[in-house]
Amino acid sequence: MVILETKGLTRRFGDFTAVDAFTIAVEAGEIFGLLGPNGAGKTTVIKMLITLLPPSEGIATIAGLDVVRDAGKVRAVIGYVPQMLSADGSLTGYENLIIFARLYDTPHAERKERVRQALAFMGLTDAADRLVNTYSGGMIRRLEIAQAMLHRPPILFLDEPTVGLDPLARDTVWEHIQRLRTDYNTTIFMTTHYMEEAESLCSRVAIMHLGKIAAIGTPSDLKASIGGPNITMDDVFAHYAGGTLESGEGFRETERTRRTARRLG
Amino acid sequence: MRQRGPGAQPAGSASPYLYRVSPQAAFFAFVRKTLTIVEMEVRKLRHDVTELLTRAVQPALWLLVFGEVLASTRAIPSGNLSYEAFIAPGILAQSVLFIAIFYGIAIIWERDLGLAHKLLVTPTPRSALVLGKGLAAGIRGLTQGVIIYLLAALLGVSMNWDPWALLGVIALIVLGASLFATFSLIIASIVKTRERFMGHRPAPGYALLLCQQRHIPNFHNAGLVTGYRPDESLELRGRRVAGADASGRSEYLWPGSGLRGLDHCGVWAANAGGTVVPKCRDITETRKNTRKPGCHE
Repeated sequence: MVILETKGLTRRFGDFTAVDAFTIAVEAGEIFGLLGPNGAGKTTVIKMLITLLPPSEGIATIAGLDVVRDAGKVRAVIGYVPQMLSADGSLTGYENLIIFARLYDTPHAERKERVRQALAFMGLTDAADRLVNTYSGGMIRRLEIAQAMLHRPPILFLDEPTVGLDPLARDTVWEHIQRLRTDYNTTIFMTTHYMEEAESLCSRVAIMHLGKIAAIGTPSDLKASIGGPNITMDDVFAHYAGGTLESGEGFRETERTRRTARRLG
Repeated sequence: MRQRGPGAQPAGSASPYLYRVSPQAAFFAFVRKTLTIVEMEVRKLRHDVTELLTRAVQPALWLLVFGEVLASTRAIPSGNLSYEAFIAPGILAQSVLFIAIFYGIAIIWERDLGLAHKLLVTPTPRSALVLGKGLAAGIRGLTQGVIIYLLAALLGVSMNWDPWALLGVIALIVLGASLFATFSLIIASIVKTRERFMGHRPAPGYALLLCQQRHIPNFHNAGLVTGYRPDESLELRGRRVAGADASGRSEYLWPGSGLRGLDHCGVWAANAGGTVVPKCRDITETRKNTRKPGCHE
């Protein structure tokens, strides 16, 4: 069953086309990775899918709901973990979860149990009553994923979920993302810069370049498509995404990414 | 809230997630989510009491230091009231407005941190988010109000402890703080970045400046606003203030109608503060009556 579908999704900012005729179909239960160099349009695609940015052209549906026409209902069936750190450091882990459980209309009778389960699932039970500003980077990311999962959405959007994390914390986050799929059959739509992450986690990946999809398929298919022995995903990425020095995100995005990395570090 | 089970009404689409929501359920969901945003702020305040204390520094300075000094020098006439009693309502209004305006602006930082995006992706109506933020500013304003009441009581300012008067003050603080926080949110959502905000910072500052007329009697006539000269030093302006009661100048710094709304807000806020010390209302009235013809309210 297709849970996410886009047809000719386009976003323009003035004369600049950030995303150009983006067309994909994601099956339920897939972990779909969106790769691309900085400024390729990955975050713009996610923002359109999560209803934060209206598309200039094209359509996108999530669980059969149009992201423009049924924006309010789409928000009820998705979970989103932004690239920036979004957990509130002035609240405890438990409070962060209970607040979002209410905002996501989690039934009152189940709310506390869901929060308890989410904390246990992410291995944060012992730290539940600590202020989030005392958490490590990996713990904050796990808490954010727990926040986005409280209402059991069929699809979860992760925007560079492991940016700025050390290898150990990254492994833990990967493990939890995989468990979300196996335990809850959650569809994951994620962007990443890490090729090893895409290769080990994603069932399919799309590589974006200059706002367009340059290639799409399973990691092994993509490796096979450029042929040759000992091909890695880095080679695939370099082949499809090019490597021009002109490409890259803007000053503000770079500043945010670095700030996030600093906070996580 | 989505209706499920037998009462649910499919909207005729293939999606199992399309449900019609009754207006009543939507209203209750709106109220619940608004209160959740307020609760988030209350929980934050509970965890960080130091914030409340540091916010009390400015009103404490005004009341305990400037108030005492200006009262002892008798530089500013305040009728038959002590200067502390005279400025207490103004300090309250000013502090609440400061908190509300800067709380609203903080959305820029929340946006940079990703918290605003995360809230916007929840199925919470935008209006509930804005109202929740406004009421949360009201809660912060109330904490400030309590501190100023305590400081004023410490200084022996005579206050009206009638429960209805107190309820009126609470309502005005919450309403005023909500209004100014949402006003600030509007500016924040227009300018979007911290850098641009620095250029717009004077806008809410005008409202605060206008509230200063509570601190200094005959503010309009004194020359701080009237006959403003950008090349004049603060010292010279201060001297002119001291002897300007009889100057009779009626030009207004902002003669057009563009900023008249802000002026009204400032006067409203100052009058709101006047509820704390009812005696001060007499001074407000006197001042209104003695204003020169042609001056704007």
